[in-house]
Amino acid sequence: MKREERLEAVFDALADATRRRVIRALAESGEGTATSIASGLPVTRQAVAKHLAALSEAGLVRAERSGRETFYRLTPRPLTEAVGWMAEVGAEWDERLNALQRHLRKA
Amino acid sequence: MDHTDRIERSVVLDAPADEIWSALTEPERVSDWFGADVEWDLQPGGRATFTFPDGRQRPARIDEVTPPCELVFHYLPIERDVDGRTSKVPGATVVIELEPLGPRTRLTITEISSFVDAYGGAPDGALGVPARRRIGFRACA
Repeated sequence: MKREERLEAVFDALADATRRRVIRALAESGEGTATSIASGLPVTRQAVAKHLAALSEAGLVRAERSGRETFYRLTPRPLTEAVGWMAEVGAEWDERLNALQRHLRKA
Repeated sequence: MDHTDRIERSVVLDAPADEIWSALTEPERVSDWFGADVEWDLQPGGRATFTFPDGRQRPARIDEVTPPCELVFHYLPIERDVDGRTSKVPGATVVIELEPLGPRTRLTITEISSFVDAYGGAPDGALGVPARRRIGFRACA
């Protein structure tokens, strides 16, 4: 996947409030199953399982089967990349706004 | 974390809104601070091209022009390299708002990538006015 496609997948995944809660739950617990995550959220296990599948597709979580259970963990790289992209765009605007201030003083 | 793919910057500038508007919209002035040369047909639906120092070009479309308070443009989801080859990149909508504060002006820039169509934007990723109001932009007073 190209960087842009990965970023698209990440932001797409993050656009949903329940998926963000699932991510937060995984960040706090380190790993979890659809059942364990659903127990702390006002959503069904089925809904969590669906969101975990979407997050897995986006590369945000890694699934590992152990017996009858599937354990999920966050994979930090896509999120780090998304944060990096935001920092880049933000830094670009910081530079532009500084340049605009210099430009206005010159005018 | 409600708007994960949105960058916002706000500064108070020591100049009246009219003066800032001209620095934001006259191509020869834009080139002095934007970091790219710009050619644009400054009206809703007008075409725009940003040419960066390395020769890359980013085509865009002007969405809204309300002097001296709001300028909105949308980077199309393509980029041309110096040899004219195009590649797909995320589109983005840039909203520039000016709010007079006595003799000074608050300038707010919001760049929203079109990685997602999560805010009710048009299929090409542009955000219509109603969608922008929903995500908290003020209309021009």
